[in-house]
Amino acid sequence: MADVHEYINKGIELPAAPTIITQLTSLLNKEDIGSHELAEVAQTDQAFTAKILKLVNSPFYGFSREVYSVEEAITMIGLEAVHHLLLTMSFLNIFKTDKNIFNINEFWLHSLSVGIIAKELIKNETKEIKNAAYLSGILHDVGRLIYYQVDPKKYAAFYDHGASVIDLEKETKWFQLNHQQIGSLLGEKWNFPNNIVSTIKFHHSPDEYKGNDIILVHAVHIGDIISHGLNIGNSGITYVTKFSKISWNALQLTDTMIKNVIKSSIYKIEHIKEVIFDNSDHS
Amino acid sequence: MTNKYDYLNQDSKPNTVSKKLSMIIHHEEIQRLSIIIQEIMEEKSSQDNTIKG
Repeated sequence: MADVHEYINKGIELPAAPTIITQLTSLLNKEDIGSHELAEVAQTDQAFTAKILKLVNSPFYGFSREVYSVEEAITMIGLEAVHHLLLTMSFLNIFKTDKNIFNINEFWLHSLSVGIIAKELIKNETKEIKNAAYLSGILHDVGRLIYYQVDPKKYAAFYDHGASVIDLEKETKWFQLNHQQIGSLLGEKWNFPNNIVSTIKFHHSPDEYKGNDIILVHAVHIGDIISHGLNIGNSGITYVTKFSKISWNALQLTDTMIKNVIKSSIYKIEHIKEVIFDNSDHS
Repeated sequence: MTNKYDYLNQDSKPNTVSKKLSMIIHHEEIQRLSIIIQEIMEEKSSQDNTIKG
């Protein structure tokens, strides 16, 4: 069985980045993106088309007539909801797991929620930074998925040994790299921008980060804690053990702001999760 | 404690806000966060009951 270094260095079965992610990221960072441009990208994949139409015709929106056009759907439900849907879906089928050991849908639900909350936490930042926060949130724990891919039995044994807390040193002892480090290596392999790679690498330890993209690291760190507080999905841990006051203070979180962030995030997560995970259980 | 706040995971394991955040609950900020989550969930539950009623 390969170890994580071999896995990364030799690229053993390391999945390729879905091409749609690059297309979506550059498209959505544009200031004047139109619904027809996004529709063109979405329609390259039948599954995406089907999900967008399912979302727009869901009871959540309650439109009085059925919508058959992707472009019209995007106009009606908005670019942001479609962005969240497509980006999350593009990662769903890359990794396969035995759900008795690793519940992949719960994992992605947690990741989706961290992306949405992180984005809400930095509402006044540029569109590019907010989109990077969303993608960083989606990928922040992907290192844990790599552990599973390398050795499912070892992954299961790790958690059977009570590793249900964030313990980066213990992860390093078992797997040579902690999940932040291995996740950031995957980000590099996928040629993601440095700000996303750094956010994956420091999301549990923002106080150690010395670069320029600290706001993203803060947003994902606090977004992760809020998601755990709300019990949305499951990233594999039972207890959160790390909290950075520096991140909390940097985001200037007042009670009113936290309330608004949570309410807005819940709204966005609830209406999209049923469509994304409609063929699966969450148990 | 019941699965009071786990409203998004209807079939998931029993869990609570306080359990997941219990190891960092000594931070004043996390206490505030927990209280806010509790208030929002109670508000949501009350609204859901009103709609059902």
